[in-house]
Amino acid sequence: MREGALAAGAAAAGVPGVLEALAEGVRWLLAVSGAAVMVYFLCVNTSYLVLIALATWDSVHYHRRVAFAGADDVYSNPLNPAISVIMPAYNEEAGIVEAVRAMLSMRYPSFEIIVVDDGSRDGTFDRLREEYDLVEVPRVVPDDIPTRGRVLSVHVPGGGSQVLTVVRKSNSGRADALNVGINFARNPLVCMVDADSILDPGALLSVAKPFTDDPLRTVATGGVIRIANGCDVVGGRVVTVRMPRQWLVRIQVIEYLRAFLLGRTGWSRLGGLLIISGAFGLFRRDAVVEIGGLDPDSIGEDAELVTRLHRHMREQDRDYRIVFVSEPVSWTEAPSTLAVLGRQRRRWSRGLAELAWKHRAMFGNPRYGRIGLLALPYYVVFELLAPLVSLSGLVLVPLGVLVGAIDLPFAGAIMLASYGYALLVAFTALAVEEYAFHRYTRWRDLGVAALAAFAENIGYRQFNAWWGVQGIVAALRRTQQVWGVMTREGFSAQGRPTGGKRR
Amino acid sequence: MTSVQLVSVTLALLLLAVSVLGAVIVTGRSVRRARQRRDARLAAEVRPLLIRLTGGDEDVEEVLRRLAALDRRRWNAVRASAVGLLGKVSGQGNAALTRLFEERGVARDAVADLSRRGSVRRARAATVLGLLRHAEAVPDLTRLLADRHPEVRTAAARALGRIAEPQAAGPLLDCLAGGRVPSDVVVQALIAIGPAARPALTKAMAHTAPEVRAIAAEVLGLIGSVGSVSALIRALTLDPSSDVRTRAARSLGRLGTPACLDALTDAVGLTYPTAVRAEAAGALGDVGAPAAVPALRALLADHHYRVAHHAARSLTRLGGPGTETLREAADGALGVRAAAHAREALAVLALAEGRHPARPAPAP
Repeated sequence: MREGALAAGAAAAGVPGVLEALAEGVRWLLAVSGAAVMVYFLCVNTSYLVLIALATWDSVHYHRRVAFAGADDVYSNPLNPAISVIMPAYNEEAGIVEAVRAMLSMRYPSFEIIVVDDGSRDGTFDRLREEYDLVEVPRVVPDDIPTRGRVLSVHVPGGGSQVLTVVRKSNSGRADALNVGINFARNPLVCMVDADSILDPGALLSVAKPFTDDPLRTVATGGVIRIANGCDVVGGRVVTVRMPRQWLVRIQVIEYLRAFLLGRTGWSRLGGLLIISGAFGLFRRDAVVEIGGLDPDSIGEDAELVTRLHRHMREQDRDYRIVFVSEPVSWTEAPSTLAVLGRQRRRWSRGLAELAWKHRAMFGNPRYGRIGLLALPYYVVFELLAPLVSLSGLVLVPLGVLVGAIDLPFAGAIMLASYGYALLVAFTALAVEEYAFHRYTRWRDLGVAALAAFAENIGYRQFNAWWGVQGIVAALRRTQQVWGVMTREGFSAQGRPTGGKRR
Repeated sequence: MTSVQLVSVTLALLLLAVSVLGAVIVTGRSVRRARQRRDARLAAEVRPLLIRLTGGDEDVEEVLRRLAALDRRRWNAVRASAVGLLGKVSGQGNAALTRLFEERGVARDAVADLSRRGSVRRARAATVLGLLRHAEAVPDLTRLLADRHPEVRTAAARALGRIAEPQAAGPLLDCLAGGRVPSDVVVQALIAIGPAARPALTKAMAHTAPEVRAIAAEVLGLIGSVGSVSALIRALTLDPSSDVRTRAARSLGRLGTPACLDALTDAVGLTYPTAVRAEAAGALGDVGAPAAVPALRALLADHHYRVAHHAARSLTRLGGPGTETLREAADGALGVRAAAHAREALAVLALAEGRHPARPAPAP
């Protein structure tokens, strides 16, 4: 009886005790999670600083050597590798003629342009036929890379020029269109560009330079992508560089600068470049053919191609280089609405998730060197998972404050410090831009860039995190891949959107 | 200090760092622009003198004296332009510029810089000496071909090409082994040296490194060394490296002697590697002899795309007999594969002659 009373008493006292212990456990968990989130973002920003430092070193290295780099010798070099520029086009009626004209006026001794009309439903082909007096010709195409789309016809200018080839095919997606273009390519180097990209006149010269400097080892080079919104575009060339008018795009300028220009330059310096933008990349044709071309089932086909190149070269124990070239550049129009930006970011996130899963065997595998041990784990931990951690932080930290697990002043100070650190990274990137590239010449643009750096962490990153999580979920659910429509506004001489027209 | 205070101090430091960076950006831009304005002003004063010096239409002694006496700031403002001009002007203008650099002691300083510690300094010095075509620097530049920094080796090779002394040909070829200097730089240097490089090139055809033999074979064709045909034929038939044989085929096509024709006709045979056969098929078009038509005709139905493609393109360059063969093949006399290649080649030929090609037959 006494024992039973004791047990009942203990039970009565134990319920609140257990609840208290549970609450304490939750508080502890929230405190630890909050701290982990903070440490995570400390690591992310520190990694950016390290990459920016590497990019700075690379830029100094490059600029000190420009005087004796032999850039002028390219036209007198009989062994200069010829380039096949492949331009997939789908419903590009508005800008295709101008894009081809701009490409034809690129400075490079020997190149051809292959436009692959991927089953456009608008007048893309008709515009080209009118402009270049295209005639249909028979062509035997080597089936070096298996393709899905059916080639309908091949056209060249009636004047006998061998520089432009237009291939019409049934619609099968961008990656397959590029594969068709690679099969048609006659030259040892293939350059993949988007039909809506604007290349600097010397871009091919620069991006091909590593191939002549180190012809035995270089298998791919990537050019930097900058944002053309707000810039003055005349005759298919960016003639005046300005900051965009919308804050959403201005923030992307800072993001591109930090993550794409300096981040990729840093990775290139480390020998771990994983992403060459599909908007501007140059590849050795034989290397791409060797690995079977681009994967038409991948939504991030450009990064997947580079990762597969790394994997193949490492598995073959071949000495190779994949290089990022920071100047000159390809310009592209960035999304100017949340809806379009969201579609783009979901696609990027999903592409990275699928790439990581497809090449999971490379993770932590010493056989793949820096790619397996450093680059891929970095991209997964600090790029792919960043949206998840970011959103977790947005939930956990306020929750921790609410239940008393995290001290409010402390949480506030930590968040402000994180914000300050991210700001420091953005300003460091701006400083490097100013010293190494100084593309934005107006004082006003400099001020706007600084303000955009302040604004990036307020809302923009959180939206990005949400879209990133959606991309991961889509990859896990394996829903149908949709590129989505990239609504473009075009460029004008005044740097204002004009609805798809360029002068 | 509490944790909140610690974080607050960190925050303050971060904001201070951001402010400093902002100031660095603004200051850097201001200083750069001020310097650009100053250099532009100084260069505007001096540039007319440079133009008069390189124009070659007046007595340059007075201009030379004034340029040689420029103070350091003014000289630095135009130095880059003057160096750039060296590579662009020839004849009297180049000679006058070279004298200017000699009088300002640029060549002397550059020779001294070849032994300095910094690799950038050595490479810059080599470049300047090359632009000045400073023949006395050839031994020093040759030594730099073994420099441990690739940019120095490359700059030295480029400079040796500009100076174009035949004695540099051998060392230039040697540094191809192991890819110590980019092959295109060596090729350009050897082309600049020209026929005087032939002894070294012929010797290099027996080099142990295939990359050296390959470039030697390529350059012998590029400099039109007809006397090297037998060495190239030997390489085409016997060399163990497919790359060497391919380049030898290309060179034989460029040289185009009757002996080349026989060797290339033999090289399209099935005993040769596919890459060599394709190159030989293309080279037969370069030779341009109708005697190659039967050999090329036989290749139109080849299973290897590039062999058949090059053969068809070569036939378009062999005049009437070549075109006739293509027409025959296009009509299906040699099979479906040959017909497709022939139709493509005939279309290219039609376009080159200003005619519209026949419309392709619809796909089955």
